[in-house]
Amino acid sequence: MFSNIYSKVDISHLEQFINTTSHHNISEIIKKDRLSYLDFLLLLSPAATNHLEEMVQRAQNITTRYFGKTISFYTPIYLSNVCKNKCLYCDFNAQLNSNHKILTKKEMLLEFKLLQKKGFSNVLLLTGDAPKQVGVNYLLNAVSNAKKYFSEISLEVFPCTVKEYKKLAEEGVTGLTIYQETYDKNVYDKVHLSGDKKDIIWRLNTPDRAFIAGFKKVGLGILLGLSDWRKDIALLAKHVKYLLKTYWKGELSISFPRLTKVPANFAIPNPVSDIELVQLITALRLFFPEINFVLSTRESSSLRNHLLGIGITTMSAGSKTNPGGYQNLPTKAQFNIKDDRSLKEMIATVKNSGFDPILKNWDPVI
Amino acid sequence: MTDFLKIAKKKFSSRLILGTGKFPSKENMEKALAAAETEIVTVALRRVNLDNPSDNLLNFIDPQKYLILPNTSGAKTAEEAIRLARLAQASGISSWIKLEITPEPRYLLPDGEETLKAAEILVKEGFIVLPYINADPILARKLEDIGVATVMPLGSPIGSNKGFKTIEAVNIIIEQASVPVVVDAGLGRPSDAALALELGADAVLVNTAIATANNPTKMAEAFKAAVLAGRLAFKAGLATEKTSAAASSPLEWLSKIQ
Repeated sequence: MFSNIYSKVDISHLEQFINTTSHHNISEIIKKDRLSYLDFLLLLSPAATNHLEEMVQRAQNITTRYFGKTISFYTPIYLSNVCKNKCLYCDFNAQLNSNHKILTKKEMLLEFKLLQKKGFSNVLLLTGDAPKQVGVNYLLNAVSNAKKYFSEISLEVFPCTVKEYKKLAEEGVTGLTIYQETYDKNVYDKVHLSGDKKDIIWRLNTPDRAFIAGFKKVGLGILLGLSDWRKDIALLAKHVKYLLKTYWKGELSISFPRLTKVPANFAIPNPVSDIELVQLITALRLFFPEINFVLSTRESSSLRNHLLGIGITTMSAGSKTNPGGYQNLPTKAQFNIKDDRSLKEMIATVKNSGFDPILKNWDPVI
Repeated sequence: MTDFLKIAKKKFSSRLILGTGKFPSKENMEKALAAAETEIVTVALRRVNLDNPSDNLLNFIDPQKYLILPNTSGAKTAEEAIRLARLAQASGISSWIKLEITPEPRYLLPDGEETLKAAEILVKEGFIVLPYINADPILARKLEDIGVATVMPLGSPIGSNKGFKTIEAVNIIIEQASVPVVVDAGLGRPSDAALALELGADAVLVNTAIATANNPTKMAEAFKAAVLAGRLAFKAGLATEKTSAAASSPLEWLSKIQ
């Protein structure tokens, strides 16, 4: 389990190394075919910011070699906004959200129909963390319905046990998205006031449990803005490396959710700038040439346009982050989206930029 | 004089098979297929979207012009590959199948054991099976014994553009095979393709090198020319390499002996 590795990492030493190193061979590292972990840390360092242009160019080449000029699309579907956790940065926070909604079967089916009509084939089903109200049985039912409309179904829900994940995998779920939010235990404790999420170890080992249970794909990410991003990304990369070695058949992806707008009484502790976002995405691309990188509609349309092809391979489009959002139910959303272009508009943009949009990249018989 | 590539009793003039992934647009792909003058085009079944015509790769490949060769890309086990093959047949796409079983998603190297298992079942069910394999001469022979239509050893890992790195083992496969040998995967330059044909490979399959070139159409044309040159050289009989200069008639001394 990853928690064993995590507990042995000297995080303050790691943080100090990345932030103070002054290595002069960054250009040589950028040209390498395969990077070591140390190489990767150097690319994350402030010293590498002078080489950002070379990193972007190299990331572009690598992404094209492994993925071609293609962008895959998916859409999130929020099934519920009920959440028992108190996470300071989140609008689903149990304390802030009294507008609870769990989609009924009828509402769920209408969401599926609307999204299928738009052309989506790959969907991510989401809920808050409230297993008593929205538990595994609710999810099994949702997946069994979603299968009739979509070829690929992933989940972003409360962390489950291996046994629960097995049931979901057998029902037809391909992938799991689970963000650690931050690997910085102090910050993790401070921003997660209560609820099941308080248990950092349970969350750290969630990808292990998903792969053990038979999930084919797991998506990781940290919430950019919570802790020092250099340290957090270094630990995220360690997590990815560990999973690649341990579950050699597993596919991994990395997402880049960045805190921009937060509840009124919370200030973003370590905001991440656009240029820093570019540095971390390109550094990760050089280190992990063959894994999918996902960018959601949290980011602005202009930033998303610019990040096309420098590492990002998968995007959402026309997203709603509230349950029933596609049928315009007046429910509370998890966060505000910045890029509200529809799938149709996104397809046109992607094509204009010389990329081929991919809607179906999986078949349920696999 | 016609020099056909024969696979499962079908004759092809072109010895260049193209993949359809990674192109910057479907239109771009169509042009590259035409420029390559290919006759066999492989399509990932997981990408075939029968529900959405604008996303359906098959709508951009004219079945009158090309033999559509569905592949099982994405399959990690024999069972998954078999299900994909049956799906291709049931939906009327083809009963030819390019067997790709790659359990590890990073290098996408083929799993010989699972490939053999799936090939055995699919051949029995009447499929024309073209398995993607490591350059493993024994596996190639076992597959041939089962009744596959070709063997498709890799030149280097898929998408790597690293070129023809498995040359020694592929030479043995070519020497021993009685089905066509198609060098598949990793060929990064037209010269890699020419080399494979020169050595006696029956055909090559190219995708990434064409699809991700700055100008896929021109690169397709370049591969076409390279494949023709390589084949011609093979037919002409390559002169062997010499380590030192030699008289043009090495037996001249005989006439000088009184």
